[in-house]
Amino acid sequence: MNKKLPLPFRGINFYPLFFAVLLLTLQLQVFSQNTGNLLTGSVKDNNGKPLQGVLVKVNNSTSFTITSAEGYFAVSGKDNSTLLFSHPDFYNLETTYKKGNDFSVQLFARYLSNPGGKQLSNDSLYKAESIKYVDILNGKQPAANMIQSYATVNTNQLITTPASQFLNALPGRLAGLNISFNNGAPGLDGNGISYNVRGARAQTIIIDGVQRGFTSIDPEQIESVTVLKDALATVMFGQRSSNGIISITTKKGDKGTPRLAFTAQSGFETPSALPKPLQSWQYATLYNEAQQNDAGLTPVTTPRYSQTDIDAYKNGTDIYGHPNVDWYNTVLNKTAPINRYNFNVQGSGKGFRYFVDVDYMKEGGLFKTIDSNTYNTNAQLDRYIVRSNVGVDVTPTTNVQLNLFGRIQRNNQSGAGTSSILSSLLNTPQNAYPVFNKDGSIAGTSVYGQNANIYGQSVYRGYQFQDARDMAVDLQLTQDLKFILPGLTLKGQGSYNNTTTYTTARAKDFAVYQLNTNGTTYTKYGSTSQQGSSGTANDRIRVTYLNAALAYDKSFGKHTVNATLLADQQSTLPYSTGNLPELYTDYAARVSYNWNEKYFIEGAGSYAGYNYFAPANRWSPFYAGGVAWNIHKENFIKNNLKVISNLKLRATYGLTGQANAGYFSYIQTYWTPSSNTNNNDGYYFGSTGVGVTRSTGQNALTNPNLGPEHAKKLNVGLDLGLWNNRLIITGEYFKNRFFDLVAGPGKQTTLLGTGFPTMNLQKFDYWGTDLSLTWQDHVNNFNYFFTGNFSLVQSKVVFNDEQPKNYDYQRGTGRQVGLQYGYTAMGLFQSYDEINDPKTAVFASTPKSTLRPGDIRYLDRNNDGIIDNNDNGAIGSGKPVAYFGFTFGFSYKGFDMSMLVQGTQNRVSYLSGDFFNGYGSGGNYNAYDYNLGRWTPETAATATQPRLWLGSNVNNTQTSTFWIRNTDFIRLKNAEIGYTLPAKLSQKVRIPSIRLFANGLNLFTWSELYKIRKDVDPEAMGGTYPIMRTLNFGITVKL
Amino acid sequence: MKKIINYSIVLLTLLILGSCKNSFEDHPLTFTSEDYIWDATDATGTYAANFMIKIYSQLPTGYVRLNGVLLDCATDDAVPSNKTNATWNIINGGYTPLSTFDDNWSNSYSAIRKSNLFLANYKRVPWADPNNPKWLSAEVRVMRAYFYYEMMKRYGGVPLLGDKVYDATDASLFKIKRNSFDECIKYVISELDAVKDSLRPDATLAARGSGNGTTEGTDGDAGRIRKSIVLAIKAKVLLLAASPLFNASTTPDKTYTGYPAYDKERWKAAADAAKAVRDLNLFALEANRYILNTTHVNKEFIFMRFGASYQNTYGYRMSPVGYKPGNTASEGLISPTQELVDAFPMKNGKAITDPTSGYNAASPYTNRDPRLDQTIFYNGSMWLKRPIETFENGLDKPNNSSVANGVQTQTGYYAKKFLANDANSTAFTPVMYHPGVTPTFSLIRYADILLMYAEAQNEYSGPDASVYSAVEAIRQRAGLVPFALPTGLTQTQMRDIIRNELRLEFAFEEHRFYDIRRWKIAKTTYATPLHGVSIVKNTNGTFTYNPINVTTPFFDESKMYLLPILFNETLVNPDLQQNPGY
Repeated sequence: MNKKLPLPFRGINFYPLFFAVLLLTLQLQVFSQNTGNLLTGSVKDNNGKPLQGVLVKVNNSTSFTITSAEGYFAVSGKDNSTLLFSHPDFYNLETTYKKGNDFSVQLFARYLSNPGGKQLSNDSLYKAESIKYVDILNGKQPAANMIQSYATVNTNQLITTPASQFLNALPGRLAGLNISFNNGAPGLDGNGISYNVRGARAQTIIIDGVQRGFTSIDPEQIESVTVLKDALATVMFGQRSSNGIISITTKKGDKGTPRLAFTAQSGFETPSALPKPLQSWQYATLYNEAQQNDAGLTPVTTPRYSQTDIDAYKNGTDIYGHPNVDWYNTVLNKTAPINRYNFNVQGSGKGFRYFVDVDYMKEGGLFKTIDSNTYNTNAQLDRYIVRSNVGVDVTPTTNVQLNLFGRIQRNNQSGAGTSSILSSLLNTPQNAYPVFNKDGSIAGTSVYGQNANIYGQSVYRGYQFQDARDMAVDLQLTQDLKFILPGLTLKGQGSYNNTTTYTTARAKDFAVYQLNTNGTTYTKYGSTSQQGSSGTANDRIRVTYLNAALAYDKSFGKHTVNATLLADQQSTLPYSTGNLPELYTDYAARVSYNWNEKYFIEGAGSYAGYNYFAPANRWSPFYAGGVAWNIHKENFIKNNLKVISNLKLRATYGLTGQANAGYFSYIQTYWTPSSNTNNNDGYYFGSTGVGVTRSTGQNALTNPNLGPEHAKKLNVGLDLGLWNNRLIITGEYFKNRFFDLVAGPGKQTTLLGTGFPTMNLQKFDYWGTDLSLTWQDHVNNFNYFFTGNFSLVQSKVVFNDEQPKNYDYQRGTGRQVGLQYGYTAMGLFQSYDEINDPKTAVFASTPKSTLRPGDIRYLDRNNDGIIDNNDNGAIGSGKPVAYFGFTFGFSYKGFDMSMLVQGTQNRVSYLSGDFFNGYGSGGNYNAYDYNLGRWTPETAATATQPRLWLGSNVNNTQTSTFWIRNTDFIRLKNAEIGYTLPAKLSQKVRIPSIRLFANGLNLFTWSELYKIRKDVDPEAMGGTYPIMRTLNFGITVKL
Repeated sequence: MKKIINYSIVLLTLLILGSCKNSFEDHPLTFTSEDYIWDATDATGTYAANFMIKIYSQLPTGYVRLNGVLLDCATDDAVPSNKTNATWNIINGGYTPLSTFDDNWSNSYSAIRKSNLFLANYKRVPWADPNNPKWLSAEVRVMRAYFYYEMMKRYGGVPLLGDKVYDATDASLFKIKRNSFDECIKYVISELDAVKDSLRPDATLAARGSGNGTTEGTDGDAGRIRKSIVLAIKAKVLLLAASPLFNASTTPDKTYTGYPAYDKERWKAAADAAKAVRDLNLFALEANRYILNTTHVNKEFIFMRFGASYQNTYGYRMSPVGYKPGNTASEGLISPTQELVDAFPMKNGKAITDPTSGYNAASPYTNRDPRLDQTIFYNGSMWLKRPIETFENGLDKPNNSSVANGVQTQTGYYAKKFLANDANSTAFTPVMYHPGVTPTFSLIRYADILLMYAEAQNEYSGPDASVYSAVEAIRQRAGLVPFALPTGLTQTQMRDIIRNELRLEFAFEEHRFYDIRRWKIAKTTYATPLHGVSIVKNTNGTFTYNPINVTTPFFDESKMYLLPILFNETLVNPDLQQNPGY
């Protein structure tokens, strides 16, 4: 007997208890054949808590056991033999058994959940412990039984991403989910993020089964994120089932004694790219060049900038009269801080489970501030979140789950607004005006008048902030009705969510001053105002959700039946508009059956209502079904191909729907004088010219026959697991036909006298594949993994009631959905001879006399000698959209590392705005380093840009292939390294687990666009807040 | 089992729907429905009357409504000062069905739909005052006729929809054909004739003018369609019908392009219609032409697009770029051509090309028709207490970046029309132009009636005494001394004089663009080089005037006399014929 048992066990007759537990839970005990000592010890998890269900094997022997509920094991073997510990959710560990101490090992959680849902060992000892469930709509299913198409990630893959929104962690992790970012500013829910599932249009995020507004919650409280992709997976969502659903399940509390975790992290963000404007002297030189270009062969005698000007810019001899201001460095800091603190506790007791989480996050902005302001003018997000999920068994058959969520957010920015400052930064030349005048006053000009100075916009315009308050209460009651019928359960759920958003503006104006030519006096533009104060309620929304479900789950021998009947309704009431609530109502059912977990069949349907439709069109049926075959359970595989641990073939097909109607848009409405505030709709009579007589009139025509959009979706999938699921491959093919899509008819005539209403008329096909591959293994204690996914989506306009077109290349039907239309550029004119060649076709509005060498030449597609709308055609790539992500990592002893590389292929962007504004607006736009690659007679062969011009240029700014560029990119999206202190060390400060980590976001990017210019991010171009590269350091303490 | 399920479904349904069933109505009762507009319980018919207001608001306006400049920038009278203004596309390349121009097609059909909706429904209101339904329906019919006229002057014959209100799903919408020009004229005239005596009474001449010639008249119903307006529109329509462009058409097989044969009697009809307005004795020429820029109601205005009260913004739009009253830089948007300046005679009424006129090329603006000073800012003319400097490197043509966007005159002139007489003021006097809402704009004024009469009568019977008196009335008011025309003018000589008077009297009032088409002279007046002047200030203070070539506008006479119908309209409806050549 060991005399040094851990404290709680001293004085207890330990072994009988242990064996009893073992026998009770497993009803099977295996003893080793060769005699030896009994090796005993305990296994702990990340938190330092006992870990049950760990397979403990003695190396070079057949002896093995599993750990008890208290984490103890006893296995026969020799002292100093090597023990192998393995568990489906934890990394493997090999260690030498040392007698004489409290032998204890700690296992680290896997980064990837075990996608196969099975113990890596082939052993069936504790199958019940290792079944992985997938959260589906209105229930859950064992992963091994899934017919539906889904992809899932767990909390570990989310918490390595240092960002305010967990969606930042998802790109590249889930096959079929495409997420992109076009703005990196600290912001509220969904700021700068767009996403779709398999190319579908609308976007749905549900949290614990309810669609709500809180799309940025802290990742610590998320158990898993699952993307539901096919018809069978979404059809119970009725009128919102067509477009794929991102389903988030929050943590409800692990089993066992309380586990406390505290994480503090702090990092800094730097812009992934910022535009690089030209130096003033370059700007002036190129301006003169543009002026000469516009003048053509007539020499410009008085260029806007003289050589003296240019020299002054270059030498910096006159910084007030000839400024050269690096505005980005003047207004922006190099870095912005990000901090987060999280505390959570979870556990269970007799008849209850709980998870409580408190999170504070602060993300700063890049803008410089000044101490004389007693308030913050920088962009900043402050977010406090608290969640309490508690489940209680109030009777042996009744469980009540109460989830409470509260969130307070404040999004601060300068009174000018972040986006205004960034667009000024983008568009203001370095020579526009100095920051300050010689006398210290803030500088400006007649063109850059009141409130224009960018530094002033940042610090002298007061501040504004948006407050968002969210509250959610979910109450779920589960009643086991086994006293009526074994396997029958009744569930009811009510959810109440309240969101309010309020903007407070405390802004002010500032005057600017320009030194007069006399060199002593100043002209003042605008005026400096007192700080104002105004408030605007943005949104006040209440979402209530009620559901009641009857579930039946029962096995009869080899037959297993599972059925759910459900009625639910979601009501969204926007208080801010005074509108009636929007109601989604479903009567839905799902039935599944399997024989011996070998053959599966499942069907689901909903009869769903949406109250914005006309009464006759409010209710529609949707349905889906699927079959699957677990081939690896067949004897011919089982007995012959042991390498195959999982092989499943599955297919689903169904009809889904999506409501897409305006607010009771079937009702024809009229406007009345009180609602018609636009003076242009009214008329004046009499001599005074004051007192408009307002009008009434008919609003836009309505379509009383509008119904839901539909989709027919096919999904075929193959799951393959090899070598005990060390290698897992999933491949899926989908074909979705969206029809009844709402759009205005293409054929419209103004003879009607008003606009045509929208109708259910478009038909789009989307098809493609999702592939994923995961390899997990270990070499001794070196546990490593690789997982990758690749998604391909192609689309086609099947029907679009298009306008009749003269040429096939103008038609959208038969082509990719959303393709760009424009002219085909043939390159740049190289000479006047080329322009004036009678065979050269040009636009009527830009006759040859206005064209210059270096202007874009367009293809006359119909050969009629003139460039016009008839030459406009599809110019996008038309190639399928591809996106992918690869994650790899390892764990070795206390070290762990993971890395996500993510990217897209066949991505094209239309480069407008700063790409071709050039010296537009009379030279009040900016020019950038890449403009140096413009066409000049000397650089004709190597030019990447058209010749420079001033003002507008109709010829060069047409939508054309010249400006459609490949913007494929690959990012090192996320990486983390961590080190967990050896238990021996951390125990010295009486802390079971201490982990130090460093992680990063958007660490490295390569884009095809860099061939043209490198000072932009491929996802966030122009004047948006840059995508941020974040480096973050933290510590997690677990108790 | 089945019992349980049934029971549960009932329970669930009650649970979910029961609680919120009565909280809200099934559909919003806040919506304003059709019955609310044609209110069968409102004897005053307030909303029905307001329904008509929207039709009024679609009457066309003028000023800088087209690409931010005047429509006249697309004629031989002016060009935009800003070289990047989109109107240059029209000057350089014209217009096509894909890039239409001054397109009033959809605005007109939108107003016609509203008119037909009104006419179909106004009787649902139990009007207490029997005048209301009579007057309002007549006003609507007149405006509907006027919108057809707006289209006819651009396109020729267009589809006449009658009283029909089309449904969006009506397939016949895509089979509508254009009516012949003749049918359109007949329809419009018959509509005008039908209602001309069903309108509210006209104001007296005394009520139109205040008497002192400077302030507003007292006519409280000014702006409402009344008989005088109907007769004036009728004269406009008949003059259009008699004009060379349509009388006769060069493509007689396409009946929507005009009459197949010339008929002199059409001039007679036009002259009679104009005379009918004169015979009302309700209008007179205002002695002071500046009154037209600063009052809504006066003796001269007949048909106005009424708008909001006065603003001084137009001063900033039009003034030479060197002016900064109130620290706001002027924009000098319009550059009138030398051709327009040269069209103004000397104060003695003689053209500058006349050797006896006394014109001095070294001092070109001296002793000219007073209307030149009322229309054009030229070098040396007085404005806001200083002489205008459009000489090279002068304050108003600085040739450098001191002006916003480098925009300055292209021709040595700026446009002054519509501004008050502010030569000796320090700030702009508010004028009718209003940037925030549609401003007041004269569609037909009495001077127009006089010249319409003169034009039609001269074509019908030659330059008789009534023609002389009509033209001389215009010249007299302009301030020419002597205003009398030489006796014994031929019909052709008189025609040229009338056309020149129309050009000067209505400069920048959107007459010229359609007149040079109506007369079919655009090819000669427009597609030739347009000029400006480069003025050099000599050291002794004198000026040297060097003509400069500004641009040669593009004009294809084979098609461009009629505007093209928007491409999409003929595309979706192959039965709708495009104008020839497009």
